[in-house]
Amino acid sequence: MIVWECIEAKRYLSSLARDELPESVEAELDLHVSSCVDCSNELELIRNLFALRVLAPSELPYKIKRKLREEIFEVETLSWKKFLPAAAMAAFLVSASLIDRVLFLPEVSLLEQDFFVEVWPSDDYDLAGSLVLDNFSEESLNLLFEEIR
Amino acid sequence: MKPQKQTSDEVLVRMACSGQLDAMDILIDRYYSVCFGTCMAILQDQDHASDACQNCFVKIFRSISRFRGDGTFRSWALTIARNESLALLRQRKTRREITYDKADLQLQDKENVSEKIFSKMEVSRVRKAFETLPKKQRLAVKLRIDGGLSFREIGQIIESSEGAARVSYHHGVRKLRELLEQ
Repeated sequence: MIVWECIEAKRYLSSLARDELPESVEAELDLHVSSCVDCSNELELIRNLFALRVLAPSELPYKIKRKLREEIFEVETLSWKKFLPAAAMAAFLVSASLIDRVLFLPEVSLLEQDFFVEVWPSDDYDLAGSLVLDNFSEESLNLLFEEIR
Repeated sequence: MKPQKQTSDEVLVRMACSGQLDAMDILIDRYYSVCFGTCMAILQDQDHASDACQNCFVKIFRSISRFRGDGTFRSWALTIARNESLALLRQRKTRREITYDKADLQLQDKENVSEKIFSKMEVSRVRKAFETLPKKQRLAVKLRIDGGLSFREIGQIIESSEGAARVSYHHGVRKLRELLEQ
């Protein structure tokens, strides 16, 4: 059995107040404290302070767990939500270009239309670059001559 | 594998890293009380300490993959609790005192202790004496008695060595005794 000295005993008084010591050590320490006024007073003070401590609220672990689940859910939601602005912008651009094509078609004269750009594939300087006028209806030809004039 | 209550911290941390909520729950049940004690020692306010403790665990699990395992999970959690409490303290700037009513409620919960000594006056005296202790001594005493922290853990929190934390604690208790005996 160990005979406790004050200096050693005081190191364990807070553990004694918290009931954290093995039974055999507790018994030895109790023996010292009961015969030592100084250690006895210090143990009383520590027990008083221990009694004054504010315990964690019983609902705290549930609050922590709930908050943690909310955070995890938020992170998971955010992982796909962060792409939303980009997706919205892409959708907007695609729809805007479609609207532009459908609603704002420019009025193009016959001279500006693509089929007029086709030219004779000829090395003859007189013919090269002439407009292809095949397959034109008589009405289209008249309109063309009107424009040229 | 499903985590059990007796599963070691090391295994629980690995499980928590892979996103197992059951493992996180067991770590919370194991350490919320000591983290709350640390927050309470710094913030001196139950509501603030609860907030800090919740934030602390959110931070722990957000960064758990970065826990290298050099020290224990408990020490790491306590350091985060300390930092969170100090951040909250800086944010709010004011420290509120625990009301005597709260202290009285605590005493009513502990029948055998309330039988012993404390009257309202004595609670007030102890609190006043406690407030006169230097900050490190006050924290060391609180963390040791309220939170049951080892001197090594207290040293980490008050940014001192283990030996200095032990000395701060003993000086604090001695000074408190002297003040109360006057």
